[in-house]
Amino acid sequence: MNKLVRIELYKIFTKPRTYIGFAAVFLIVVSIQLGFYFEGEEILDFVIQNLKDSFLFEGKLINVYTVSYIVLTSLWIHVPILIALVTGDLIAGEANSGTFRLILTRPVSRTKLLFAKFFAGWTYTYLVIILMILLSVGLGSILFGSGDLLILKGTLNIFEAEDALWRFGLAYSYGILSMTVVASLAFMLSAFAENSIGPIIGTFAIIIGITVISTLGFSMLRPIIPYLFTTYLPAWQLFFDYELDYVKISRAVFTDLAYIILFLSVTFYHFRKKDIVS
Amino acid sequence: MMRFIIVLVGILSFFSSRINAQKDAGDLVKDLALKMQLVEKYTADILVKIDVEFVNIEERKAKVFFEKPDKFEIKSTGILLLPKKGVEMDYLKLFSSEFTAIDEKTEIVSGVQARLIKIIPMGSELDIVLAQVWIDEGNLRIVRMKTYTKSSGSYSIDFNYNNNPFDLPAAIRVEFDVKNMSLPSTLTGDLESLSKKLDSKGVTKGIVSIEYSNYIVN
Repeated sequence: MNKLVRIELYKIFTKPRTYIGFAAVFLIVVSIQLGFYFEGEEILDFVIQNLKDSFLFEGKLINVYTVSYIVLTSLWIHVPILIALVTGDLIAGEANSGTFRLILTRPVSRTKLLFAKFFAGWTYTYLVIILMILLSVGLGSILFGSGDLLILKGTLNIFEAEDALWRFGLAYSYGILSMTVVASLAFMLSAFAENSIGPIIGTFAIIIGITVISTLGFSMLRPIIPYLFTTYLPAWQLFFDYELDYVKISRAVFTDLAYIILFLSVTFYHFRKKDIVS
Repeated sequence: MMRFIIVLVGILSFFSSRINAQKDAGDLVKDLALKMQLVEKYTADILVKIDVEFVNIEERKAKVFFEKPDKFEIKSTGILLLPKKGVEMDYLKLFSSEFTAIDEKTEIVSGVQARLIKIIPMGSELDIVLAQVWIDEGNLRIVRMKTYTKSSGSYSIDFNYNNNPFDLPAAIRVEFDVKNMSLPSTLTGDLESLSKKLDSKGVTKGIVSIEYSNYIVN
């Protein structure tokens, strides 16, 4: 099994498209950080100008945590696209290049092969988020130094640096879970396709489509919104509520887990019965 | 009859002496200002508690530096929010300017008998347009102050004292107006609350309590 995973990882990391994700994360995070490094005071002044009429702010407002939060907010729209770019290709890419028949003539079960592929895809997902953490927190610490986290989230929440650290830890962990849902969806669509364009575009379309429909048709779709996985993609923000809402967090985690199990079950069921013709 | 006249004269002279003993409002405020001006500079540790409807923040510790006439600095390791008016002893400017003081009445404030004096600044350069000051005449210190400003609405300060040098306060409680504000959420990504107004009333009250300790004066 280890060998299979290593082979799948090798396949992923020899494809140029894999590095688009890392390059995009690098560019976006560094651009935001440089923007805040040079013009952060002006940007933040504009954001809190209402508050400055009534309050004096003391202390370091722009610091690693505040900037990391903004990076997280800005990047969370892009990360699913980058994840789908690789995980949507995992099965369909093989079908497209006609290598499945060759692989499946080897004494490897389809289940094991799928596990290896999914695990390799998940490793890529994990690495993209790790890169985001390293750049946000690592480079951010060098550029901005530590300080309290200031968040405008309907209310003005200010967390001490120690308090911010574990919240970021949990938010990133949740981020890995919610991106695993996206990876599972792209992986499932990949099992049904013979070409990787379909699953990649399909994953974007499903995520964006459901999000737009559930936002615009909120009153009509209200009963099913709690059951849609897209509802919980931004749920990492729950870890920055002043009082954690454990019910909402648990619902988000269990919904994500349910969707991962559902998407993977469909993938395994379909692929094990699939007639390999390419 | 003679006895009655003597008693009447006695009563009248007693009340007349009491009336004469009550200092003129302007003089009382000037005496207070002179006492405050004895403080050249000080540093102190402060513990700040913020109670504002839309602000969530734990108690914060900081250090405060003051130097005559109006240099005021606060140093904090973390982020600290303070009301724009009230904590920087801006009333010192009022006391050292030209003003008209009007004696209003005597009241019990926080268990202390205090004279309520209205102060109207003569010039137009100050932000303060009117102040009501409750002064503990016996100890010559402010017990409460309510101030009306041009730019920041009104705020009131309640002072608590212990045995600090120069009667510097042990704690103050500032109650101030906070304008209705719609916190921007686009930058921070809180799309759920996008354009959500925090309060529709226009103005809410905020309270900031500050405890002072470890004064080093002059």
